[in-house]
Amino acid sequence: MEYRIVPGNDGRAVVYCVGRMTLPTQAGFTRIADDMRTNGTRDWLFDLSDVEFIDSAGMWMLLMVRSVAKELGGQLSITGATGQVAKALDLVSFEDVIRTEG
Amino acid sequence: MSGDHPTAILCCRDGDVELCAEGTSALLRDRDNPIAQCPRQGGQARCAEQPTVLVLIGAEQELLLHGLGHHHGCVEQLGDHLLSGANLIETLKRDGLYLGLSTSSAYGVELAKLFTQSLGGRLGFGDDLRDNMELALHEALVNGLIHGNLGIPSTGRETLELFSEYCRAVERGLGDPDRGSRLIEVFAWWNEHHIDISVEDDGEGYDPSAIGSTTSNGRTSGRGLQLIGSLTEGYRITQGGRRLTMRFRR
Repeated sequence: MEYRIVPGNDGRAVVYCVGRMTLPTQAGFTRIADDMRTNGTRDWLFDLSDVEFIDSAGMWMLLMVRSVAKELGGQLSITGATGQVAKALDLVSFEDVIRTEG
Repeated sequence: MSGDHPTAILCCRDGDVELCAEGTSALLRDRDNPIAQCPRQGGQARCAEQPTVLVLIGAEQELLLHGLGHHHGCVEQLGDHLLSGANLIETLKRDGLYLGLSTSSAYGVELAKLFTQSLGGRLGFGDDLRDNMELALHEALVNGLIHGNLGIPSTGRETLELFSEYCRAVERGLGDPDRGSRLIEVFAWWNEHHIDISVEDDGEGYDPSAIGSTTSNGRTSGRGLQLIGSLTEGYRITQGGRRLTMRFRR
C-alpha cells in the first residue's frame, strides 16, 4: 500500500492511501505510524478514496494507527471509502469504532 | 498460451492423480510424476481427457487467470511434486474449479480476486456477489495460509509493535522451505442455486469452538470468521479445522 501525507486545511494531517489494505501490505502502516510520531500533528484524517480493497487485517491496522493518534493526544478519522471498502467497513459497523466523515 | 507453458491432462480413473502420457508436455514427463498409459481399446480412449488443469511452475498472475479461465484450474509443480490433493479429483468429477498452490506462491498473488473473477466469468453473477465472495475467500485464505500452514496463531497483535512482529513471523514462515511449500487448495463446486467455495490447508488443524465469536479489548481472533459469516449464506469447518467451506446463493 502506498501513501502520502499532506497538511489539511483544518490543522489536521491527511494521509492519502492507495492500493490494498491487507496483511501483505502492512509494511506501509508501520511506516505511517513512524511518520505520524515524527510529524508532530495531533489529529489525523485517513482518506481511503483510492483504497481498492480492505480485509480484517487492514481494519485492524486502522485501529492500530488510531491508537498512535491517541498516543499523540489527538484523534483519527477516516473518509472517502467506496465500493468494496465501504461495504466491508459497513458490514462490521466500523463507524461505531472509528470516526467516519463524509 | 497453452503452447508456451506446460499443460496436463489429469487422469483419475484409478482414484489417483496421474498425468496422461498422451496429453502431457515433455517438460513434465521428464520429472518424476506418475504417468498413466491410456488403455485404448478399439481406438476408443478410456482415460479421462477432460477436464484439464494448467500446471504451473510458480504462480504468475497471467497463467493463473489462463488456467482458471480456459481450464478447470491450476496446480503448481514444486520440485518433483505436483501440488494437489484428493480434492482435485472430486472437483474435476464435479466439473468445478480448482487451485493447488504452495503457501509462499499463494501468499504472493491476489488469489481471491483472481478466483472470484474467473468464477464470475464462468457463472455470470454480478459485482455485489463477487465482492462478497472475494472478501470471504480472502479471509479464508489468510486463515488457511497463516494460521493453518504457517502455524502462526492469531493472538499477540494487540499493538502496532506486536503486529509488526507478527508480520515478521509471517515473512519468516514464508521463507521456511517446509512451511512455505505446504499445499493450500481452493476449490469451487456449484449447482443452479448455490456456489460452494472451499479452502483447505495442510496444517495441524484446530478446534473451531476455541475461536471467539466476539471481539473485546485485547482479543483479535475471530474477526475474519465474523466477516465470513456476514458475507455468506453459511459456512462449515471440517477436516479437523483444515477445511472451510463457504456457501453463496446465486
